[in-house]
Amino acid sequence: MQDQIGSPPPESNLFDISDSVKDIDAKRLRERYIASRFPQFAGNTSQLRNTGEILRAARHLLDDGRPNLAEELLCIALQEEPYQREAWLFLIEVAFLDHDAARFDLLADNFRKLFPESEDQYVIDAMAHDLNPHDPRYGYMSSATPLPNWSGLSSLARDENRQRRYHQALVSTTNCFSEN
Amino acid sequence: MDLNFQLEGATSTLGLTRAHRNLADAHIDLHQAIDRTNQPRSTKMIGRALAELEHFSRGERLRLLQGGLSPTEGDTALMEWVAARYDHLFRIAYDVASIKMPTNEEHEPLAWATALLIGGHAVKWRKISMQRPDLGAREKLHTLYRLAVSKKCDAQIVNISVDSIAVETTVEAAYIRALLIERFAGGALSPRRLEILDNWLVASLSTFWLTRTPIAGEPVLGVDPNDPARSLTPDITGTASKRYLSFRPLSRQLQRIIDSFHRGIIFPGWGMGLSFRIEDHIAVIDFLEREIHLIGNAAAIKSKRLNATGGEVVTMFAGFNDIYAHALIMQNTTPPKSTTASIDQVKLAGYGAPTLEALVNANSDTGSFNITERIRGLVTLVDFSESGVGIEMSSEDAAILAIDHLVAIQISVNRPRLIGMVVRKVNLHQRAKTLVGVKILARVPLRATLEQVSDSLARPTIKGILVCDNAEHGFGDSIILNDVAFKSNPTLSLSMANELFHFRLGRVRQQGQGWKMVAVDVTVAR
Repeated sequence: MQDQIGSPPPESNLFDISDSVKDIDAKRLRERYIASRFPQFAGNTSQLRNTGEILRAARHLLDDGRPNLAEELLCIALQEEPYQREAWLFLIEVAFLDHDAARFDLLADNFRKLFPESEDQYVIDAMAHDLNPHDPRYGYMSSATPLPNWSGLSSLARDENRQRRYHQALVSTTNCFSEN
Repeated sequence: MDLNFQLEGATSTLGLTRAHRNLADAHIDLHQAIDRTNQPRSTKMIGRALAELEHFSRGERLRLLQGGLSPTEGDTALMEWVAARYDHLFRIAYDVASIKMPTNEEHEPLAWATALLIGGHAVKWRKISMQRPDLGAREKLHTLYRLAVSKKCDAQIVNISVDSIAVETTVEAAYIRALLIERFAGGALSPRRLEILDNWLVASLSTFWLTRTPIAGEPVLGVDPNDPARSLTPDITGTASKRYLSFRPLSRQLQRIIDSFHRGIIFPGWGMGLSFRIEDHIAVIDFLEREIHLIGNAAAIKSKRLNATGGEVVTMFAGFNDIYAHALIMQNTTPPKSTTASIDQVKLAGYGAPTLEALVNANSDTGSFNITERIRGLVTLVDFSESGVGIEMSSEDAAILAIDHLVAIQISVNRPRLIGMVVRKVNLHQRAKTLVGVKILARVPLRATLEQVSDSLARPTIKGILVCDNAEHGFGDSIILNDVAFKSNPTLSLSMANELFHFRLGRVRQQGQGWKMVAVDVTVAR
């Protein structure tokens, strides 16, 4: 396969790659990259449009201490299907927790364009105010808001109890072989 | 073709032709012809010689980098020849660039940058050709940088060329790139990956600069250009650095590289890296992310040394199937009645090194682990900490282990066999010895036979190695599988401690050639 040659993209337009991957070779290279970087999504890019699966995988990556990888996965998913509201909210909350004002602004702007009527906008503005109290755009917001927990997962999405039981069984078996 | 001549540094002449000899001779002539009183002309001659070498050797360098685990004698000779050429050109360029001019001359920065560029190439190819580092090279790099600083020219922009690609750099950026190559060539990257990383560094030269004080809150490395013993290292020893390199710009550049892949573009769009597998590029991304994290947390990360004296002979197994079949035979999910008995059996069944048959079969499911030679020598323990193990073995034996290979090690008979991945390989000063660094993945891995959940009556079984994490919530637990099993994306069933579990495979936590360590997502527990 002929690999693509070109300049790196501008930093601002992370979520709209439609122009770049029209070319079949570029599309193939992107898919190879995703398959290698996120093997659980290899050969099945439609899974990247399954918001529940994506959020679950991103949450697990955060658990593993790989926030960059979690953000990248969400970013790739949004490039495939931008109207995944929960994925945007997840990213926005992570940027807020990282105190990354520039990224937060970029994400919030994109979210505003895609979901202009969303009720979440108020919460996002409040977070923006907390992040940057001197920004006049959010001057009307007053107090700090509790975290909306968009980057957490409900107990329906993953069963803590089952996982804990498995872990306990594993620990008891492992202990049989631990050092004397 | 002339196969019967001897070149400096070459242990074999296979693959070397008269043209190789002619080029080596041309460098000797160049060294003699250099006019130290005419720095601009000499720098031009060195630039031309570098371009000729790059043009002449490009195809061979590419082939060597694309080669497998065990280079032939001819390949080794060629690698050493390339390294020797860069070494020689560096010596010539240093001789020219280190001339102290009484006044500031406008051509000096180009001479310094050219020498620093070739110095970086020389460091890289010594590593690729598996030779020990040139102990004097760092001092030369420091000297060139000090000269540039003394004349306040370290930030001056000059044009250089790398494999026919024109690149703008400052003297300081060329110095940083050479030091970074030196740091990253420490054994954690395979030659292919080191080349990819170097492509990225050269394409990122405009983002490199040093500061006189560390930037608060940013991951930094320090360097003292007056100290030949010190390269770029974290500043935690109490000895203050004279200059600091922030990794924040490199981190941003890494993000741009990742964004390029999202768009189906291989960064930077030129260089030998374009020809390498995508997995190699991703391994370099992983490596840099890990490095940046480690540098940012250098003070906090102090691995606890464990009780091992070093020098002990250890038992070692390589490859998923070998580990499953032999190393963990007694660390099974069905606990034995007596742990002592199992250790005795391990002792009887254990062997000092994998057999040829075991190694050949190590990844037989994927066919990707092509072993042609047997490990013959002893494997000895050098270092043992909470996070890793250092072992020493003959270089010949180490040649069959690559970065990311899965290995199992038994430190002593009263300890369970731990499992890890090769993260570092460094040739020791004794030419025939290699230090292999292993990152521990599990201290007590468990061998398990799992059933694939399906509607059919005959449920196929899958071999897995269970890995227990410290986190009590259980979301840190993993299973290691071979690639074939992983690709079938099975739901698996397992009985353990009188309970039945079904689980799906989650995200990949670690991976290497032929194996993956995957999160366990429990769907049934009863």
